[in-house]
Amino acid sequence: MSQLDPERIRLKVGLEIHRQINSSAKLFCACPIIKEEDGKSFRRKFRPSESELGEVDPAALFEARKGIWISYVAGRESSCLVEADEEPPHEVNRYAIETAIMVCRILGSEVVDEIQVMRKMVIDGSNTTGFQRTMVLGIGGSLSVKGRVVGVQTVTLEEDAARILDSKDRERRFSLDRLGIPLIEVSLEPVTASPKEIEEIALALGRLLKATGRMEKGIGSVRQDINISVLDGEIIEVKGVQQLDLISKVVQFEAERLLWLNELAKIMKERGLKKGFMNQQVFDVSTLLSGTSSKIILAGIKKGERALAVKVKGMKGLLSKEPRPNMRLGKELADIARFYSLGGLFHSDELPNYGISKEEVQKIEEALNCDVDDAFLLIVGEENRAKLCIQALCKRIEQALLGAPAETRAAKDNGETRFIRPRPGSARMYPETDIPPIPVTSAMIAKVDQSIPPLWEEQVEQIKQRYSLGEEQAQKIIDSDYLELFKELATSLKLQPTFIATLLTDTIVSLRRDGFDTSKISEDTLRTLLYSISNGTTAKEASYDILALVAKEGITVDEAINKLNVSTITIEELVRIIDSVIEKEYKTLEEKKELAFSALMGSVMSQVRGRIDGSIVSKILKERIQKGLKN
Amino acid sequence: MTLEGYRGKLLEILSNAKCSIGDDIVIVTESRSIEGVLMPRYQYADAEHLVLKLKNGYNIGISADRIKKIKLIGKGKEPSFATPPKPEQTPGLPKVLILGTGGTIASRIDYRTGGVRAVISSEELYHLVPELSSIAEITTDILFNIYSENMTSEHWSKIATRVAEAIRAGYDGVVITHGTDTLHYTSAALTFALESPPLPVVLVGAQRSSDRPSSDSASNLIGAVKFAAESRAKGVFVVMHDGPSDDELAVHSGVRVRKLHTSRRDAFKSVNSEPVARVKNDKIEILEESIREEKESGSFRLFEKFDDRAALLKVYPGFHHSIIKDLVDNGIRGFILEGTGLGHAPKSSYGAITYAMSKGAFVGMTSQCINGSVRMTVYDTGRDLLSIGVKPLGDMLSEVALAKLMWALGNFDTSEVGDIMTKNLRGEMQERRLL
Repeated sequence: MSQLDPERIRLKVGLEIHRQINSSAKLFCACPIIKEEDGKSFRRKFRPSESELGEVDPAALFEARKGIWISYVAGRESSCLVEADEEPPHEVNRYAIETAIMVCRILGSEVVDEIQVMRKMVIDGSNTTGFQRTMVLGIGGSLSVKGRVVGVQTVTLEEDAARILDSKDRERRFSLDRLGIPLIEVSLEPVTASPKEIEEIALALGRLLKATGRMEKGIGSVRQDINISVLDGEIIEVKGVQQLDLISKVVQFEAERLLWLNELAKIMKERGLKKGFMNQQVFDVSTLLSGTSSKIILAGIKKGERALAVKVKGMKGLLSKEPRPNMRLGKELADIARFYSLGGLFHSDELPNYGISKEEVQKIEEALNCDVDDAFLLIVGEENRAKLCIQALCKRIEQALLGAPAETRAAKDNGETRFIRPRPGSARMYPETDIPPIPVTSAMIAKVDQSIPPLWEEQVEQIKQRYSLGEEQAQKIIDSDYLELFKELATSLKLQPTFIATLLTDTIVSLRRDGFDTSKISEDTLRTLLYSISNGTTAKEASYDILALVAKEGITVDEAINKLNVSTITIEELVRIIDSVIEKEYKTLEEKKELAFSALMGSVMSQVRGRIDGSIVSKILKERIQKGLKN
Repeated sequence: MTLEGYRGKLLEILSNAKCSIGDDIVIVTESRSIEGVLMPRYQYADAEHLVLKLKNGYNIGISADRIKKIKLIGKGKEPSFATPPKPEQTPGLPKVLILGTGGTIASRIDYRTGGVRAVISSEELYHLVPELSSIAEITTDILFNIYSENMTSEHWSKIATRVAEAIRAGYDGVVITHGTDTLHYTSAALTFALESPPLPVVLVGAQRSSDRPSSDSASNLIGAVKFAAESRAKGVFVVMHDGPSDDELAVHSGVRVRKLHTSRRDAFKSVNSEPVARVKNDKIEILEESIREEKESGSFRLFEKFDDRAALLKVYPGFHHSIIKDLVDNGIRGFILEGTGLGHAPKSSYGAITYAMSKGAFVGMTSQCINGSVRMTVYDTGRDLLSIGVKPLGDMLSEVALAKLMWALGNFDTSEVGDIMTKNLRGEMQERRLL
């Protein structure tokens, strides 16, 4: 990865951090927050409604054009008629409002005098209503990160979306369990900073939110949206970055991609391409391809679908130009085709290939009247859908002339991004008329002010002192999901707090890095394990192996201890094992005297590892060697 | 109005600053300046807050007390609703008339009440649901635009008269958009007013307002128009969701249906019977073949009169008999008593019932159990009431019985009302109820 100069490329990054609030109920109904995947199912189809200002939002239209069906699974425990959009929302959850006010107060945001609940149009099916209910609680404020002051735009409270279960063949399936969970969102002013610094800002904000003690834990409870632009160009919104350490990668990738698209625009202009160059006629080339060996095309035509082609003037070679892996115009186009649920998109830069022969390519080029510099797109699909898609593709290619278009993208696990939809405008907001405006009184604010817990930095200091932890360890335990568990166990068990902290932070992290599914390790598992160590049932050294087995096989701590044979042994048993080793290795001992210690220690440890403290083994082994030599 | 919903001090501040709804303004408070678009204030919201739309699309309320200054920075356009262009119509399709009466199927956000209000014309609706153009050749007509709770028997007469005109004009079907609260009263009233209609008259509503993407108005309307255009059924029907899904609609007989839920999409259910048809994945499935029976040509008759001097009373523990007497003295000509169980009313009411009948009023009995039929020969109370002259109305729904009574009082001689009420005319009373 090359080093970007944020100032030179005028990199601007705005973060929006969403965190679930650990409320006992959802934002607009009394349903508890429980994960559930079974339940009654039903199907819906959405259409865009007009916004308050009379324009239909482009993003909403884009989704509507797809015309897909959405299936929902409504769990009995986790959802009611409100989530199914079969009953109006109830009053807004007071705890969530208080939490948002608290965040405003900590960030120095000005709390609004009256909360207006809005509907933000989202018709991808992730909300049964077709909109997300959301409200601004605070405006302005700031966050200080390593001497840099980052402005806050808004603090909002909103409902979480339904959880996608699967998406296939123009039908998506969502579970309603997550829909309606209260989320706090803090939007920061854009800053010009390096990808690493952006990550530090996210970390600091995350810590500030968590220190309220009112945030939900676990995977999926934090989501970061990143708004990025370079060279004062259009803003790209990357949605749903869950892992903190992905932020710098996403910023890096996206900045490079935007720079590349700028570069591409220059090349296109050099080639003399001008606005309107993609106003091209679409041709039906199905008959030209009737004898093709491309399976996708054959199967499509057989189903009654059509193969459509369009000339891409002057763009030969540019569709597959790839400045770094997975960064090319052809890929952006493929993402759009996927948006229309069309898999069969080809462009001439990659042909002949995929069963499409050289002759067929030539025939298409002739039909489209292509010059040597011209490229073409070929798409197979149901006629109307393919036509809409090809329109969108032509528009996208035309946009390339201006650099990167404003769009919403999703982050992949490796930090790369992919197109999901055009970026919505503010037209997608209109008032939630089912809920009257909520005045915020000074009494409400005063009540919140009294219950603000210490800030993150103060909490670190407290933990350090109370449990004699080092700075880094105190930070780690506070950043982990186990602060409360740590406090409980460090107070009730005889174990060293540093050991407990290490187990709850470093050990869990190592397990995750080693590929174990740590979500299978519950708080109860950790509690049982630490109790077993504390009362001598197993040894500290066996912790990693026990947890690894629990994560891998889904068994209990006791079962893992038995299976690993790591229940502790007595000193007598240890002496017996040591003596048998000494007896076996008698010759080595005779030759090397004391120098034989390490070989013997290894041999003993292979039999007792995890069952007794290593320092005890070493001490007793030394004694027995001395004794043996004397004899 | 340029400052809709604002009053008092705020109205004054805004007028002085020459602001109108939709203008770009800057609000200066002690701590900061906030730029945005001035939004209307709901009339019933308090007078203390100004509503500003921020650049990011959010609205916030700002207290009048904190406003130091308002700067007008640009005149904006007032919020208005654009209508998409009319789709091209396929020629040669069945002719369907859509009559608009109001309700959730045709509504939008309203700043006056802060709620949802019926404001879209049926024609506009048709523009918003372009699929309709490939199902039928549609004409739209707004009869009135009211919430269905404000519907009266006069409205029923107007609808019936307009449907009769449509029948004479040769339409293939009629669709009536209607608020859902009293939709089943109207469907019953029309069933009686229209004798032997040669086409389907389909009432349709929505449980989610049409201003939201998840509204059931489009799917219900498409299903209703489809049923009106293609089913060849004759009679008055109600088309609404059959369950929570958008791909399955139920078609109910106009006299067997009741709203049974306050908010669900499938609030309407056939009671004591099954739906007569379904529209499933855009296909019509006829479940009750008799709805397609040919009517003798020219047998259609309109009885559009209603007399609303009728009352529907629910009997309950401690039911005060003077209610009946007072109503009779105030000119009420007929009663539907929604009795308990098999059709009972307390002994204490016998006197008042007898008094009502002595004044020539009709008294009929339905059951508040909703499901099942009255059977007044089982217990003493029932037999007593029968002997006084209370008419058992079988498994007729109370709301249907009320509409029928208004219709009977409006079109026939008082002496005939008893016979008409106890006779099954349009399928409103049935002998067989299945397990």
